[in-house]
Amino acid sequence: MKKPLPVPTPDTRPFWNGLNEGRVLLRHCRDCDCVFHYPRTVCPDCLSSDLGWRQASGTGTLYTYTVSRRPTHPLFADEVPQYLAVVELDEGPRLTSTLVNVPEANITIGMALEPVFERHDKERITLLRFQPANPELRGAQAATQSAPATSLLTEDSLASIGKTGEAIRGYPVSVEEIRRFCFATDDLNPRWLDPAASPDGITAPPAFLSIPFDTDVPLAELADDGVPLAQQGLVFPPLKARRKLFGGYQVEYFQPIRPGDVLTRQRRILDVHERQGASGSSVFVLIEATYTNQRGEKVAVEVNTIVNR
Amino acid sequence: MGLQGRAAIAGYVELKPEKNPQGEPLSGIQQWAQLAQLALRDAGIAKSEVDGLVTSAVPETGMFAPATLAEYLGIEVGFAEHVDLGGASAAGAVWRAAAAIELGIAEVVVCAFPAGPLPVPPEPKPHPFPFGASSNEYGSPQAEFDIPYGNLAQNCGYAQIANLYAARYGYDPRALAKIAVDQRTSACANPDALFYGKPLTIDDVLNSPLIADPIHLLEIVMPVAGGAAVVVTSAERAARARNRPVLVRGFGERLAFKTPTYARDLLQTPIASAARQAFAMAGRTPAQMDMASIYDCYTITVLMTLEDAGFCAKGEGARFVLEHDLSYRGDFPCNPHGGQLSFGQTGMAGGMHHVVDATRQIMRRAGANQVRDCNRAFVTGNGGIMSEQVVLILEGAA
Ligand SMILES: [Zn+2]
Repeated sequence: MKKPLPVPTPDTRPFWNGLNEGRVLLRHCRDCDCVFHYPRTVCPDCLSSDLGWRQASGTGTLYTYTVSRRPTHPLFADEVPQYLAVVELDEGPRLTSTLVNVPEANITIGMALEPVFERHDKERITLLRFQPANPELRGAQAATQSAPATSLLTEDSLASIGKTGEAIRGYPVSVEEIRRFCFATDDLNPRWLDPAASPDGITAPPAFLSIPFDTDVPLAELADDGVPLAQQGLVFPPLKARRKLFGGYQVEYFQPIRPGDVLTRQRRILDVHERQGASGSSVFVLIEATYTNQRGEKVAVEVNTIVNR
Repeated sequence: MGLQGRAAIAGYVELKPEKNPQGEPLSGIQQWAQLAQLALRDAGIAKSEVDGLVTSAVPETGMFAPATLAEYLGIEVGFAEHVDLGGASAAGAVWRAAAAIELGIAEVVVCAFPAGPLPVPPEPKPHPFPFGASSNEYGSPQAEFDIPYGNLAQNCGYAQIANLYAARYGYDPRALAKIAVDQRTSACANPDALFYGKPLTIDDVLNSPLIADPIHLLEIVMPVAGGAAVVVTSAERAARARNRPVLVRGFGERLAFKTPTYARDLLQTPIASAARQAFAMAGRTPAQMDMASIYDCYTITVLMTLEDAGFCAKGEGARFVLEHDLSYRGDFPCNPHGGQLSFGQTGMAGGMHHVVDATRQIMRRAGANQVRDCNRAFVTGNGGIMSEQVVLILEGAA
């Protein structure tokens, strides 16, 4: 068994993405103006679901702690003695953590702490640990932290995670449309073109999936970045970034597409997160689209990554 | 508001705790049936009269536990509860049974808490709870925000509470140790206790290894096998049963968090409001109690319960402990059978130990450990990390 790492859920993903970027994000309730942790889908003060995200300072004080001299679980034997801490952030919420870079004798309840972001690159998870804010109280090999850079993300961009667009119906799939697509893409596989090639008749090539949803968009309805303003029912997350790059495309197929099918596409903002690179910050927007056919069968699920800078 | 004292405990069973259990292991359902049988015999009440049951989780049946038990025992019940309050479940079961009886929806309710070893199936499955009382299931807040930091198991949570208490009120390790020592004195008069014949001194406790600062090894319960049950019935029916009826006069229950990190104020324990409600319901005060049966998973739990229940002021617990003899023959008998610290912690039956201990005393069946003139008892159940609290006020029928 491996040491357990967090598995984010859709509603907590911004918190973990924030840690990946060296930022501590707290849920903020727009109704009662409180901030809270851990992230929930309703405010624990007023039960509102009108929630956004606020960037916290990341600094706090030691609310309480213990030094565990026996492993709390065999998987944590390598961390003994474990400095198990409850940290109260300056904004109020408390979180579970451990203390690092501190000799045992220097630990006192109430001491000022600052965050240490412990990256687990393979799992794309960062754990939030804490060290004394006063460098004199730290141990010999204390890590130096660079201040987080300015963010392209806003509260509103994070709030869009999980938002679902309306279901859009594509135009009916025809033999002619499939033929045109195959010739245009130089894919002359008889399965797409010859009704006799397979006992099931013609099926559309996998890449055909989004074709029934391509409609003409007048130039005036394109945004600065060339993407249609009306995202077919889905509101693109508001970002401070201005340029969009294609960042990858993943599709899983469940059913073939045949002439006569009428597909429906429903899209959802799967994730919005930021990564710092040598050339600056990029915001990754992942949009998931689920395609179903006229019989309600799931045809495919695609995830489109758009990089914004 | 609340109970009128018209329900009573009429019988009980408490199995002798065993560190290395002998004999063929029984399933949870079989153990439940055995405890029900013994408790009903003790009360002198026939199985045919049972019309209610309260249980905690039954290992063999993750769902539908009450129906499975009713079927297995061949009873039809009008009241069935599955209580999931950890160490507070047993006390929680007793007040629920009493409430059902006062409502008139049940007459005889069995509350059983097996804690024996389970038979090993021919094809053992992986342990369903690899992280103990913390859930590592996808979507569990503990899995996401606590377990990855090693914040699991009970010791560290109680130690965090103790350290916070120390920072706010000061901490006298000798007073904490004395709680374990006084209870050991009681256990040394009780041949059933796990630590019978093994006296203890304050220095023994303080010289035992630190497990999670500031908690020493001998301030922590030792898990053993066992099991306990009570029969709760109407005061009238109890009067015709075999033992002195032990009336359930008041109760309180509070819970607000699972992990101490998220408590509003870790030092304002749920004990305070649970005890306040229980005393008010019973029309009694802490000073009127003849004994206390306080859930004692750790010494700090007892200290903070004494304060928050009002036996002494907040921050005065250490002085209170040093000024009183907490043994069965002392001026403030607390856990006169040894408590879980010295009797042994019988898993989920550990909470029932405190109900049974008070019942045994009020029924005047405590043998060498009998507290003189014991008519009223303060009983607590404590689940999680001081996160789930139930208080009972029990009183012997005149
Ligand atoms: Zn709110």
